Amino acid sequence: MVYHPPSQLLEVLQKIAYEEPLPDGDPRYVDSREARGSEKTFTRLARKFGWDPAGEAFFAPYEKHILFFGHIGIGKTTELRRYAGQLNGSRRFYVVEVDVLAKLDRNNLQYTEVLMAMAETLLERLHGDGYSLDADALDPLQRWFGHVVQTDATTRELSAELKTVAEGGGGIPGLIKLLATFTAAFKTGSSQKSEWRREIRNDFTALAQAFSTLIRQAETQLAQERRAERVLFLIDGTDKMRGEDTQQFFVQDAEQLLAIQTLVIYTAPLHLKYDGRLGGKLDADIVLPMMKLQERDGSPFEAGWTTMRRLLLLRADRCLFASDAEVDRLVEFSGGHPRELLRLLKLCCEVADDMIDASVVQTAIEKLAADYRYFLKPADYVLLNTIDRHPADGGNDEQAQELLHRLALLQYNDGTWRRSHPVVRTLEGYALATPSA
Amino acid sequence: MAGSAFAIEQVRLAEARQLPGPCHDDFLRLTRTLIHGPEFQWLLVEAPDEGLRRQVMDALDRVLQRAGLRSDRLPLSDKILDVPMLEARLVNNARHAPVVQVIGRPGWFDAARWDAFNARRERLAAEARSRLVFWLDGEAIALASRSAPDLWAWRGGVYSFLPASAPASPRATGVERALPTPSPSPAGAVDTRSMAERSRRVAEIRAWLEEHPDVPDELRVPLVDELGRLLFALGDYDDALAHWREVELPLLRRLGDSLRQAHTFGQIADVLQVRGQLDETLRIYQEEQIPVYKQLGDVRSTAITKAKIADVLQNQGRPGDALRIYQLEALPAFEQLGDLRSKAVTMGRIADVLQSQGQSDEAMRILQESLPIYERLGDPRERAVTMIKIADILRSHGRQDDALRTYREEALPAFERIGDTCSRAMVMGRIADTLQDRGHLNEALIIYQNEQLPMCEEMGDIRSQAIIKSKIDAILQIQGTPSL
Repeated sequence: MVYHPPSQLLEVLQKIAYEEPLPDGDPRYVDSREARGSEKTFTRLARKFGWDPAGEAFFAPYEKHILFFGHIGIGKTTELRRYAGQLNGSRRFYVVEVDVLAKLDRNNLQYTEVLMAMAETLLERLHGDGYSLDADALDPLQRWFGHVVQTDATTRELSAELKTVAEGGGGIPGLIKLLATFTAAFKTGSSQKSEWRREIRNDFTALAQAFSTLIRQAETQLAQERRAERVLFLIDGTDKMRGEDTQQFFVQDAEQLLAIQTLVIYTAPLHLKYDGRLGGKLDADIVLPMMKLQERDGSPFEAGWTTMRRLLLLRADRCLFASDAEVDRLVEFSGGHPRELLRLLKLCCEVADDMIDASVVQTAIEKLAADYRYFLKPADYVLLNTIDRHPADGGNDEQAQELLHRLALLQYNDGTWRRSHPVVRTLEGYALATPSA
Repeated sequence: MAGSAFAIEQVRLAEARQLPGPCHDDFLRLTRTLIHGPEFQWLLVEAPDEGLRRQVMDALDRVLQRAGLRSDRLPLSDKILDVPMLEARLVNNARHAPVVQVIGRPGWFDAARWDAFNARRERLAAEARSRLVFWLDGEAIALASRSAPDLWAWRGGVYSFLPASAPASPRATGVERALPTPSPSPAGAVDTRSMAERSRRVAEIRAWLEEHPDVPDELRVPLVDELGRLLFALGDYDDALAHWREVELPLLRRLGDSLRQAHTFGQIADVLQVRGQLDETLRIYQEEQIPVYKQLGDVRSTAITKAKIADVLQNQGRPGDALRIYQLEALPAFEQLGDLRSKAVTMGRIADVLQSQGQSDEAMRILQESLPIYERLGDPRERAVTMIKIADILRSHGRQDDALRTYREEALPAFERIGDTCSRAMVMGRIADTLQDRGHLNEALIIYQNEQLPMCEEMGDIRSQAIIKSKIDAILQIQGTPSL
């Protein structure tokens, strides 16, 4: 069926939900690669996993753990879902998407439960797609559980049926059920959570080896069926962990992540890339850039404008705008940030009577700018102003990182240059921070 | 039960107008996103003044009630010890209320609690599928933006209700509010502004007048006049009456402007007439308006007021007195003035009175005489209305075929052309009634069910829907079919 964007303001308003990324194949998706200057982002990512999308060459590394950075709300998950579709379609990779936010409790999330969620999701996918694994393939993981259930803490929580699974019965469905028991306990904050976590940590090397063996066996099976040669995990939601958990997960526990010998993409918050603590263990090269509306020298970047206009007009029919000027002004003041564009659109829908005209757009810009007043301090305006005048002088200190994190400062071209959010530049504080000529 | 879209909009605008001026726009934004936005939203409301917060919350409750949205209040009292407990309460309340309002307490949300709340946001979005409205002070909102940027990026909107006399807040621009430009719609001209625009304008004028109590009367007059007209146009009759009586008339008396006073009295009388207070309406027309217009030699205003007096007399069951005024005072005056439209309208009134007295032949003759006037004026709507009156008389004379032809060929196409859905529905009803008179029950039923009822449903006209359904029921009973 042909998609038509909503042509009533209230329908537009009803359908704006920031918290939901677009699924692969959603008609509102706009190819933003040129606009982001990220035409090569997918190719770079694919090549890191040993596949050249252009030449069909393929030789995958034994293991690779890649962080995928980006600003909040610029469409990381949406883009990754597209990438997953392409990687799957290559029949080189069997992509297993793990949404840690759905499966686990983001509050106090650690690598131990992420590993459980990875194993559970892989087995669910294989089972759902009709693949079966020999008992030998499941054996190491079952043996590991068999060892763990001998501890008092675990035994108390497990049903007799699951104890049987842990002792080598039940096949894939049984193992899925067993893993789900663990992830559910981690998600709901069961009283056993800490004890189970400790058990896993104490015997993690064996678990990582067992899981890696399972992955190898699955890959053998998938290759025999000519479905794929490697399993590739896409871990989404790890960019939304609490600050201290982010550090723990990606910095302190990086070795444990690397112990799982497979191919993985983790979403990661942009500020982590620049705070200097990653230490080179995980691959931290790939950033999903912002869509840019201008080049560093200020000249317009037409591809960015075209993409953002399309993005907007797939959410609200053109007939709702008094003229093209209103569309362009909303795009301009989004700074190339898709969620900020949607936020401006939502404000327009809240304010407009029946048409989005110049005064409605102006009100929307003022309202969005007012949100930034809540946290910007005089020193922030000074820094933003300085960066706008001298993009190379931005620095990378905590203040700049916080401004990046809160979107008052936007970063383009993989971080080669930055500029303040356009709505921030309308605020009095910004004007006051501008040195007089 | 939810009211019609129009009724909800009216309540929304009326409640917004009752709030202090600076609150008007954000109240409209907040209510719109609550009523029309997605099922799950996390909205932040800055309302540091407790009195104002209560006022806004009460207004909000009335709007939500009209919209059929149950709203629960969840105060952050001592009983809610921490964020996990808040989460549990939110999830619980969201099970039965589409709107949950969390009433913050200064200091409850510190950085750690915002962090903990942030960690639960996806789970809340999944398990508390409601519009979550957090009433907070500016400090708490600022802390959310600083302590939990991911959560902040996730906000559905920020709304601000600050008292007009509040000390300069960081959000105030500090620029003195300019005098609102007077409306370009003096009495008699067509005001094309939407309801929301008018409502916003009411708030704008009120705010300006409050901020400038010492402004010269000459400067106040156009704004005060516009405010009264806006309140009337918005259907806010109580406010309009109070405004005219307590604000506008004393102002005009101070200025000694008797003509404007007479006009204002006329507006008051118009409202009283709608409310059935006919004696007081008549007194105002006769004692407050006519003497002034006569003294000033304003023939047109005198004639219009005379015609209004006749309207009241007709409503009071005094058709003879009404007819005398229409025929001997109003009509000659409009002819003398060359005011063709008022002449044709008065002819229509005369025809109505004559028909009510059983003189339908004379009534039809007068209506037919008025048709060329509307044609000359290029007014298809009034011409079509006159054709309906003619067809009604034909129907009462037993000339159903002629009546049907007039409804179908003269009135209906005209309303379709001008897009007057309401009048079109009315004509369709007349056609169905006439078909029923002739015993064509199936045809009548089809029109009631497939044409008139859907139109009235679309317009939210509940009264007409009830009437049409009773007509459908009556036909179905005659036909021995189970009713609706």
